[in-house]
Amino acid sequence: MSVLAVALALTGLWAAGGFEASKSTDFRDVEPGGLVRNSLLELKLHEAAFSQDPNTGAHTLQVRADIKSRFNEPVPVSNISGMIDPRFGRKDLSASAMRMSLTRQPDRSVFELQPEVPEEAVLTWQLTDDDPDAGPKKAEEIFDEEDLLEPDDVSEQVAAVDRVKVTVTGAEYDAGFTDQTKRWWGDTNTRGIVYLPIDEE
Amino acid sequence: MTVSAPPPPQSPQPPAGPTAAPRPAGGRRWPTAVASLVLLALLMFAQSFRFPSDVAVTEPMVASGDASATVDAGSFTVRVEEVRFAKAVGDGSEDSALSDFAPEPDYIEAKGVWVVVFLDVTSTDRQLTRFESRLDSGDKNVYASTPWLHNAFGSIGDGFPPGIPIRGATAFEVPEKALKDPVVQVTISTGIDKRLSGEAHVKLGLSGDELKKAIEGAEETLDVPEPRMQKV
Repeated sequence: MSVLAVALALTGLWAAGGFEASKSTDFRDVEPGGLVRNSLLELKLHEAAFSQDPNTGAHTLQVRADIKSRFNEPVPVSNISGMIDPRFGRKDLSASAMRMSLTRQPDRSVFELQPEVPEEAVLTWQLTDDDPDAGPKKAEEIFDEEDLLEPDDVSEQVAAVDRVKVTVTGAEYDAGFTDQTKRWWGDTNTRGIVYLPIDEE
Repeated sequence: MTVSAPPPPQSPQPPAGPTAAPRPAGGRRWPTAVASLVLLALLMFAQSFRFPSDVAVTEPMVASGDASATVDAGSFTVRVEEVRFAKAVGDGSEDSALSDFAPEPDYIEAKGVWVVVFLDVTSTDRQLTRFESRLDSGDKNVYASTPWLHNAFGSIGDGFPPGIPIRGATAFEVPEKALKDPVVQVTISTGIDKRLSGEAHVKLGLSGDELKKAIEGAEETLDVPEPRMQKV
């Protein structure tokens, strides 16, 4: 009898995919403006738009968001950027290098998120024509590009895209990279996926 | 006539055989065991004196004090001259005959209140370049200084030559409710690496009603002046 129960349980386990980590993230879909939390952030993503830097002509993605740090010390914005990943479902358009400014001070950049101060922020990514899933570029690839400082012209891709999928990952406070000092990192867990329609500028 | 059986041997003979020999030694073994246990306990106790990590070994060395005196952090000294509260701050222009004609500073309104701490900083024995400060509100949170003022300490152009006091300010945008018993934390180093540099924690000595009054009496606008060398 018990053998049968164990066999049944094992069959059930096998049918459900065994001990492999669940890859299903459908249930983590969040409406625009819905709350996404991880151990560092409380985040509400409201709306997205493409825009162009008036000085460099670089195409950017801007997302308006409510953001609050739950940590008791200032957190560098560069540590947060790994937790918010916008994708367009294309191989020739990716967003990188997140910057942050506040809607109450739109012309000033924010480099550190203060503890437990809720802010309305604009998150800005630069758009490139790289494959978002490609590994880091080799030095030769970077320096082979003809116009190193010229921003990628992604106007075609931008015109074809009408929504962005933003994945918010979990966060962990851990040591690494330069020394054993602890800092915040994004982890591989998905805490929320927000599909934002993109307004045409 | 009674025949008695021969009396059993009175003196208990140690039982013969190989097990007999260690018996007396066994009696002397317990002090060794106890000593071992004591030494082990001491070892574990000594372990607690170890630095928790190699980060702690090279962390900035903290010197604490309060606003009434100069705090010596080893590689530099710092003295809090004044603490001012304001609703908006801006970069003040230099005092000169022409300053009346200078454009009005671009004031930045606080979400909460600006705490502007005026400091005299003196490097001890070499040129220091990188100033960083934080404000421990005394509640539970630590706030970063604002990067929005060019005149405040912490900009790119900072330089602290040895032996010359520099007076300047550092500003913090803090929710009023968070302020309880603020402590300003200052590190000054020569590069991005803060390891083994000095760190001063200066208690501002503001709490309770005095602090409440100071926040309520916050100035409408405050011009933050450029850092300036002081006469020695």
